[in-house]
Amino acid sequence: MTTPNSLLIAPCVAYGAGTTVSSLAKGYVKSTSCIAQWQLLLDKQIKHKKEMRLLYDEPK
Amino acid sequence: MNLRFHCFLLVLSFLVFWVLLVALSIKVLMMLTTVVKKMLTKPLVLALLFFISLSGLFGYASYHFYAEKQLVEERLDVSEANAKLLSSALLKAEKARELADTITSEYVFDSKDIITSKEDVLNKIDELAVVVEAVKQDAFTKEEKNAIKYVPLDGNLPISIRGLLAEACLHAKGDSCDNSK
Repeated sequence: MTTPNSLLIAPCVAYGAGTTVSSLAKGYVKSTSCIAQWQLLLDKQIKHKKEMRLLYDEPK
Repeated sequence: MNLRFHCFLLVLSFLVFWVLLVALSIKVLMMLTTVVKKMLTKPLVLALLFFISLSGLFGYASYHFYAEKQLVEERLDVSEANAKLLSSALLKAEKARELADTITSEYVFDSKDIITSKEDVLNKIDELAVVVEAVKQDAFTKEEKNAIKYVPLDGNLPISIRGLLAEACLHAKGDSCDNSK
């Protein structure tokens, strides 16, 4: 069973630092948030794979 | 002596019985043959041949359809097995679709939570920038403003910014998020 298309997306991209402390901070916040989204996506993909293994009794 | 005589009589009677039985059978057969010979007229022979042909035809048809029935029954068994497999696969596919929907919903919900947290911190930074700008306008002359235009590489970040960055790091479940101290 393949991963659903809804979990095969790029949730965000990395952000630049800009030229000011403020933009640097914003870039950091956006990029860390982006990492969190990617991590979440990966967790859900892993969860989906585990559930499919259980459902179809596939070997690990 | 008496026992031998009795055995002899028994065997003799047995032989006589079988001889009589065979003779009677031959007689009956001969009588039947005679009767049948008398009965076998042309229409009867034709009717007999017709019935024999009909019986052969029915026999062949029965054999043919029986073979076909066996084949159909075998196919029916295979079809039933396939139907069961398909039914099971369909149920599993339905379950898989429900699981995919659930996990996708969870992802969308949790993702919104992350985005909300990010927007919250970004707004706080924007608010902070306005405050800092107001303080700068009041506190420094033009030369002083130009002097603080560039931040030294090893200079400390403002405590308020550091706190917000740490908050963002914590939202991302990052490592070493305690540098706000």
